[in-house]
Amino acid sequence: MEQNDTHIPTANGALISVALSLHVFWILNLFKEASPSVKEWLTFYNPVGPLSGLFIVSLVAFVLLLLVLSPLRIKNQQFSLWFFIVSTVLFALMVFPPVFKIFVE
Amino acid sequence: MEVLTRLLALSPWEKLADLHGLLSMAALILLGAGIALFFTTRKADAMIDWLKRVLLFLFVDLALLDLAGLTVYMQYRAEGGPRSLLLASESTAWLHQVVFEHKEFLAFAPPLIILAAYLVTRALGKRFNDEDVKPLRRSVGFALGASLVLVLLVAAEAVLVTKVAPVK
Repeated sequence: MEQNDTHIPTANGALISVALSLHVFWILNLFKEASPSVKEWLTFYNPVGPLSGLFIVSLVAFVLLLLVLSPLRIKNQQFSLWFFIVSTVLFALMVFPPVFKIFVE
Repeated sequence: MEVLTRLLALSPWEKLADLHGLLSMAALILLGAGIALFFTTRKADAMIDWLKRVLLFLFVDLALLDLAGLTVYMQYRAEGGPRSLLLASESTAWLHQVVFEHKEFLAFAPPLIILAAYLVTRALGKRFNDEDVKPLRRSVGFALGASLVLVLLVAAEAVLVTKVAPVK
């Protein structure tokens, strides 16, 4: 029982890290659309363009968040579940060009 | 034999685009298997290990799918490539500006969502069906369902664009 309880925060941490990295992606994309300098900064590899930076920064954010959230030992499963669901739906909406362009313009 | 000769005669970019399509089909099959196993675990605890394996394979497949997609994207956005072709005409520009852009952004989510489902399943182990971890179990079900919707959406958007401007 003790060993399994130790694993619940690990599961919660994974869900929240993924959810937060999805937020990092769409927020960074808003900045990319709004600012040419951010767009240029995100162009890590020219043939792929700023998409390369968006993917790499968001993935690095995921790994860092996973490391940071692990020692916090998040125990609230309901919060993790709903944060994960809301973040995924919000991500799908906020990367749709007709939606995010409203915020940029 | 002629089929083989013609397949071999395809350009490297066309072969990579086909591999990209193959990986997306594999993802749909694995998502189907994952969803079936998710419901089966309620009846048989032994299926939890199989669910874990399928989620790991699915994550690897989706990661490779994104990698292949980003590689093909280089040819797509190259000078004179499909992107230039689409943007050159007012009637097709929306296919890049709305459909393709959305497809490229959406593709980021499925591998990570499935990785989260794998990590949750691995962390819970044999306790996967216990009542006190029900919200975490539900997160795995949501991850599988959401990834299926996103992969289908990305595939549909890809077909819409490549019908007008295929990668060559």
